[in-house]
Amino acid sequence: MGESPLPEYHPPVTSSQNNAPFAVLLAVSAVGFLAVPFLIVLAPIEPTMGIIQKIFYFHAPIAWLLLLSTGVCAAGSIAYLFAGSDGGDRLAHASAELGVLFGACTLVTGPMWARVAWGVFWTWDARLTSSLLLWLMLVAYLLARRYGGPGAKKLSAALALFAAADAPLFYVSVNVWRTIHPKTTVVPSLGWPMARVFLSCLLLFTIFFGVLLMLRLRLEKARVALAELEIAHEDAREARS
Amino acid sequence: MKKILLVLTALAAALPTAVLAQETRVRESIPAAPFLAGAYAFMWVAVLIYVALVARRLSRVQSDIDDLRRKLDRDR
Repeated sequence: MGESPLPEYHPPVTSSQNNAPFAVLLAVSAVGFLAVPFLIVLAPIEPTMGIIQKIFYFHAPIAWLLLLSTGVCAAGSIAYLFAGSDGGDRLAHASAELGVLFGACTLVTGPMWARVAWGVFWTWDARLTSSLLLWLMLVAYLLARRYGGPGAKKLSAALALFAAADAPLFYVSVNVWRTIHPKTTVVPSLGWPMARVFLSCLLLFTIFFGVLLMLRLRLEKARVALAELEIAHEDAREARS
Repeated sequence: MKKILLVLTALAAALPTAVLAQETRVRESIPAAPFLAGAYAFMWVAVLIYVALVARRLSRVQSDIDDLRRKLDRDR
């Protein structure tokens, strides 16, 4: 074989080209997270539960992030299953990991609140059980993806749809079943001094979720770039031989 | 960028623990404070470990990319 040209390689957009939104979000979340503990400490102490009620200011936002991760994971999985979108698959994978992270945080911070407020770490309450199920489904997504062999992406995408079906159940469980967990009506009934702390925390945690998702997507993009380069390298070796 | 993220995450994790520990000293009669501080610290430690793992995976993939790029450039 003669001097055949090496396959053209177009590197994907690298971090330096799309740093601006990431840097802005990172700066906002950094400032926010330095402020969050002060907001929590300065928030009024709830008269019935006392100081332990302040877990609410980060427990509820991370539970919201569990729901958000599940929604993003399901949207990405639908895009992958029905439109063959690889970007959707990468988004689903990244958000499933974040869902497992924030789900674990929800499942640890909740029982710490419960131990003081209810006297037990865990009870098989509808909200607690549905949150555990949701977390286990996201863990199953990651396990299926890692060990599922050929077709693992489709299998895990289908699991994401099951997780998405559990998400509304998780949200309304406190209103539908008899439960000792506070109902969803707690948030609208908060007085302004508590509501402003809660809403600030909710916004900051959501921005932080965006930062983590962008960081995780960079890893996915880098993996795609590596796979493309490996193919280009193999082609180059074949062209030489 | 990754180092900045790690430092900021560590700062954000350390601060609430210190503030809540201070509150524990002030309000020693309230046993709930250690649970509150523990829950907050757990959350931040978990996030910090996750960010460190992603950063490590990212730098490993990036170094593999750089190696392959060098090999490809040499071959051209």
